[in-house]
Amino acid sequence: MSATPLPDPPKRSFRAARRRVGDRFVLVKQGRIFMLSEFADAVWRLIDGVRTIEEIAAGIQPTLELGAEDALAVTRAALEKLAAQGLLEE
Amino acid sequence: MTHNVASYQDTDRFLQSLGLDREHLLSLEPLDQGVTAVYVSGSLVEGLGNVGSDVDIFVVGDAQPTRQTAIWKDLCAISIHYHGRRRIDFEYWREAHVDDIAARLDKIRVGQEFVAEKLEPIEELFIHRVKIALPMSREEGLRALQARFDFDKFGQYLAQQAVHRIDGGMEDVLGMIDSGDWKVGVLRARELVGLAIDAYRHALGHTNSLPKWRPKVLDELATDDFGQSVRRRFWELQLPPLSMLEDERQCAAYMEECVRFANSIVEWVQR
Repeated sequence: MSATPLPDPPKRSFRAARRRVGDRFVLVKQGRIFMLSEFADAVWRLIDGVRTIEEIAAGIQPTLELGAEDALAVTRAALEKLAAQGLLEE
Repeated sequence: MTHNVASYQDTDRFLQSLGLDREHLLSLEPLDQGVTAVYVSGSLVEGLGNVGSDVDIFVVGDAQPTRQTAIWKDLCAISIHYHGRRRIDFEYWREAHVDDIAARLDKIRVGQEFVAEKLEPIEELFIHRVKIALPMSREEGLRALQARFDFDKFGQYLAQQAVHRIDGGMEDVLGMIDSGDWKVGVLRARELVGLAIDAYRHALGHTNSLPKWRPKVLDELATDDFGQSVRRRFWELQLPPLSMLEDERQCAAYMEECVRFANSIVEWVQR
């Protein structure tokens, strides 16, 4: 499967809203609900339209037991998933 | 939960600043029987009011106003007096109704269910005014009344209710963008900004639910960088240039900014 092209810096779709449900967070977009893993939620919170993908990965890295290269890879994968679900601006 | 109850000295200081006297005010209404608490509250007590604001005196119990000029509302009765140009309202609330409000607040499970509109707007204001009250007489009655309400939970309830209203408003705004319904959409988007401020201030424990005080509360909360940035953004989004209405792209961009602002505030509230 080819990866969804990612804008860098990534920007959230303004139509997507992060909401707390109990002790978890979801994204809501046009009536659809997207469950967020703790990691995906951490990535989402760092997306501000200014931070680059590398900066997001660097922000996440301290919470992961991964080297910089692997942190970048998993961050990119999470961003690609968000983009594929239409949760990021194209 | 403990709540700092004001003293008669606080009340007298407040009333004297308005040229009023506690004993004189108490003599205006027959408050000898069937009364469990009498207190003054409202915007002036909170420091939000102005020269035209009423003084609101609350009477809780089974007493009712006897003057023919009293106004009977669904949930309370109001007896109106004047001191010079200053209006003095005695609001009578029945004990059983106050019990019912406290019981309904107790039952609300904030964060676990849909919690909007569990209380009437006037009841929300009543709870807030109990919280900030200054005793007029029967101080122990006010203490007991304040002990019946969990004011922290009340603030959380108001914040979550504001988030629900934001979600409803957001659906509207997105639909209006998609339909090119610009003028209605711009106004609805601006309402979202106000609702976001409600979520923000209620989450910080400000429980006055009246929208008109948003700017004053924002001034109070602008004590750090975040508070200042919220206030600045509020005003920027409240007062966009009129020329925006002649350009659909500018309208869409404004509506998007309002949605982004509301979402950022909700994320902060739910952090």
